[in-house]
Amino acid sequence: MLGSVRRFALAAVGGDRPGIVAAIARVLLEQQLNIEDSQMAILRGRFCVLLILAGADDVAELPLRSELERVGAELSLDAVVLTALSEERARRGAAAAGADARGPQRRGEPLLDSLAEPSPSCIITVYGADHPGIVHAVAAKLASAGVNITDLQTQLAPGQEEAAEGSGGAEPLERTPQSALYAMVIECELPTGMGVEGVEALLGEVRSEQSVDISVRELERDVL
Amino acid sequence: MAVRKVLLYPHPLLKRRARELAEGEAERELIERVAEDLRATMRAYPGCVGIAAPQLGELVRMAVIDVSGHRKTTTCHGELVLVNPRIEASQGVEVAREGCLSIPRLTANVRRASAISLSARTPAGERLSIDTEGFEARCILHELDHLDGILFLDRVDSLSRDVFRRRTQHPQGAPR
Repeated sequence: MLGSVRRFALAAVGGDRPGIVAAIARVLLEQQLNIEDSQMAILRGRFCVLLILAGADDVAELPLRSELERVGAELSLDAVVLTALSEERARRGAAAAGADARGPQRRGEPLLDSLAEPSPSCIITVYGADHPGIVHAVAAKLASAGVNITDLQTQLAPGQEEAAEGSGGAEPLERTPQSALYAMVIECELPTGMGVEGVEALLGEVRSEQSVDISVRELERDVL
Repeated sequence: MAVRKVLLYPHPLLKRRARELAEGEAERELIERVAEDLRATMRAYPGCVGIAAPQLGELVRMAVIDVSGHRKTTTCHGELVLVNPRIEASQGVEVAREGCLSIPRLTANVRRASAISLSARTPAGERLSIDTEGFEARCILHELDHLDGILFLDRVDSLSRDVFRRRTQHPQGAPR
């Protein structure tokens, strides 16, 4: 693409059904926007779309917005949100915070360029009986040490019912009742000088306070 | 010999390191009782190919594995009752789907060595030395993890790519 580029972030959520991606992609194609990066997934039955779009500097923003609104209404989506991304602003914000735009990312610094790719080096697995506060406890600790979360996923597995009784004539087994299991896997970028042991130490209190199990591993590098 | 209840996560004993068992006669009675309970409990769950002592609440380094007749089995040493097992060497890497009686609602893709050399003792105290690969090696590594308080969730890289809710109740979810 020649000339300067305009970027947008698009987020959409709706009850899962066939045709959501097709409808959104058609609007973007008509407005000559490229989907540069995307993630789409079904979370608890809602289809969630996150896109970073790039188009020409003179992309027609009004028809784009009205078309997306029309598609959202047509498919009964919960939300369609389009935001123009200003890389200039992101850079200036970082500069105002006293960051060196060329140096490696340091403790507590914001990502300097909205397109800068982080280099995650660590995987943190957290799991335990489901209760409020697990995500916050872990994320707050990581943030306080300048650890940058690059990917985070959670999953809730329902509790286990007691073993079925009287199946096959065998004595029913007593099993410990199981509450719902909450699991979270975080991929993150560590500040200079911090290693896997540092993360372990950082999360030690969270482990006991939240009664969760936490394991920290180095992210395996591709060997080929 | 008794079919015992299998502890379910988050039971705290599943996250503890199990202790070594003494050689000789000192703990023979305990070893034989746990071996029988492990066998009986594994047999009570259709499709179960292994179980480790901590899953029964016994914090000792013992496990039973039997991959006979399983469709994924390539190398098979029959029923293995392992006391103080140790991985002497391992090589290769493979990713495959695993489940666990102690986390009955999830399965996950787990990366493990594809071939191992194992040393252990039998309940009678004889030395055991085994080279195996594929599904049997994976089962042994899974059960040995239990002896160190490690569950398959500790080895997962990505919840969206590697962890799956069991949609239907797996046969392993209920004892026979």
